[in-house]
Amino acid sequence: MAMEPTVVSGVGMHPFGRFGDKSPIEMGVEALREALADAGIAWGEVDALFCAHMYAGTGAGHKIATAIGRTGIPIVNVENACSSGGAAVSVARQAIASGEHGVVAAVGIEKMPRGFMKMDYFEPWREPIGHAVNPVQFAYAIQRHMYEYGTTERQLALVAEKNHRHSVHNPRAMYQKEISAEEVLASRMVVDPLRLLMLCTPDEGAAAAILRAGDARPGDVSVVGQGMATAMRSQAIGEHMPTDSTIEPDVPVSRRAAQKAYEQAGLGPDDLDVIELQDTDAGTEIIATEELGLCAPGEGGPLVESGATTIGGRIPVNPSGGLLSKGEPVGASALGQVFEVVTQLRGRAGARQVEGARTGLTHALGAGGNCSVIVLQRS
Amino acid sequence: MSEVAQGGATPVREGLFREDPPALLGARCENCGALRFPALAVCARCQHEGASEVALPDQGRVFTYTIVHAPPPGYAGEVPYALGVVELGDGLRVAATLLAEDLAAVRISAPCRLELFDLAGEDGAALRTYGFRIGEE
Repeated sequence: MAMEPTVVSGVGMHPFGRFGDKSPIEMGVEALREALADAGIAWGEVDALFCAHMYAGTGAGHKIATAIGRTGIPIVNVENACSSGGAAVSVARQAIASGEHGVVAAVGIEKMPRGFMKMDYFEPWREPIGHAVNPVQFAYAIQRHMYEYGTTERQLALVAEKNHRHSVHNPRAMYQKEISAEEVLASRMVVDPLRLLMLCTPDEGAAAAILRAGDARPGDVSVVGQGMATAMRSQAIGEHMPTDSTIEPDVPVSRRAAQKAYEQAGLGPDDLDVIELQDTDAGTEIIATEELGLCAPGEGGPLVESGATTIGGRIPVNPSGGLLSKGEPVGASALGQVFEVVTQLRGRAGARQVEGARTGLTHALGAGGNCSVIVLQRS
Repeated sequence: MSEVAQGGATPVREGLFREDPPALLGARCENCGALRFPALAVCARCQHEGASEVALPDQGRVFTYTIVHAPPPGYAGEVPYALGVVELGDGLRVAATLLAEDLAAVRISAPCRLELFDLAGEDGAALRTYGFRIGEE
C-alpha cells in the first residue's frame, strides 16, 4: 500500500551511556523537548505520543506527559524489544498517513541493568539450563555464516573498528574512541566467535522524533517507506528465537521488512547514501548488510573489509558509531538511528557527515523475530 | 549411554523428554505432519489444532553452535559450556546443550547423540535436562 510521505519535522536525542540515578522519564523529556524545539512547535500542538521502551514499567509515555504537560492526547506505549523504536515510528507514521492525526511524537527511552540482558522472552525453564542467553542467538547466526561463506574473525573485528572510528565524532555516543581490530581480537571471548568488543553494551538514553502531515518543503526529511515483519517458524537463528524450528526455505525477516520499505519508497538499496543498522554485535551487522541488499549473500565480510561501509566509502553504515559505540538502550536505540539518519540527511552531522547524503535507511531487529525498516529522504 | 533416572532428579520441564530409552518428545501435526519441539497443541505451519506425541530421533548433526564463557542469569551449571542447534532430520532443528570432554570438538556438522544429564538446581536438588554428546565422524 502506498502511503503519503510524512515529514520528520524534528529530532532530539539524550546521549546514550550511563547517567547515575537519572530516570529514563527525565531522559525522554529532554529528548522530546529537543525534538519539539527542532520542529519549532510547542508540546500543545502534538496530537498523539508513541513511547517505545522495554524496561520502563507501566505507563512510561504517560509519565513523560505528566512531566511535560497533560494535554489529554492519546498515548500508546510500544514494546517490540530491540526494535521498539522502529515500531513506534512506524505506527506514528501510520497515524499520520491515515489522516487521524496531523502532528505526532515518537520517543524511545531506556535504562538497563548491566551485563547479559535477562530476557523474559525465554520460557523460565530455559534459564537454569543456560539456554536463555540473548547473545547466543547472534553467535549462532554468525558461526553458521562463517561456516557457509568463510567469513573471518578479522572481518568481525573490522566492523567494530569501523564503528568505533566513526564514534570519535559523535558526542552523544557512550564510547567515543578508536579501537583497533587487534584490540577487538584481544578482548575476551563471550560467546564464540563473538568477543566482548564485538558486542554492544546495554545502557541508558532516549531519542525522539516529531512527525507531521503535509507537503515536504525543500530540505525537509520525510519517511518515504517503512516495513515491519516477523520471522517465520523456520528461521532458527539470528535475533529471532523461535530457536527450535523447522527446516524449510524462508526469506530472512530483515530482507522481508526491507523489501516492503523499498517497495513503498519506490527505490532500492543502490539508491541509499547512508544506513544505520542493528549492530547489536559485529556479526549481525555483516548479515544485515546482505539482507538489506547492500551486497550479495556471503559478501558482508568482504564488504566491510573493502572499506565500502566506512564514511567516505560506497555506502557508509553506522556513521553514528552504531550500537557498538553508543550502546543499546533497547527502547531508544532505533529512535537514535532515526536521529542520526535525519541529522545526516540534513547535512548537520559535522565531522561524521556523509557527503551529499539524501536518502537513508534505519534497520532494527528485536526479540520475537521482529524487524522494522524505515527509509528517509530529503526533498 | 542411556542413563536411568536417579532418585531426586527433577526434569527441567515435564513433557520434554522420556528417560528409558532417552528421547525428546515432540509433536507431529495430525493434519500436515509438521514436527514441533517442544510440543505445541497448534501447528505453526497449518494452524491445525491436534497433534500426537512423537519420540524424536536421538541422533543428529550440529547446524550451528557457540561456547558460552560467562555465566548467564539463573544458570545452574558451570562455564564454559556449549550450546547449539542440532538438525535431527525429519525437518526439525532443536536447540540444546552440546556435551564434549573437550569443547574444541564441537563444530558444525559434527554428529551427536541425545544424552540426559543433571545440573545442580537451586536448592541443591538435581535438575535433569537434555543435551547432545558430540561423537566421532
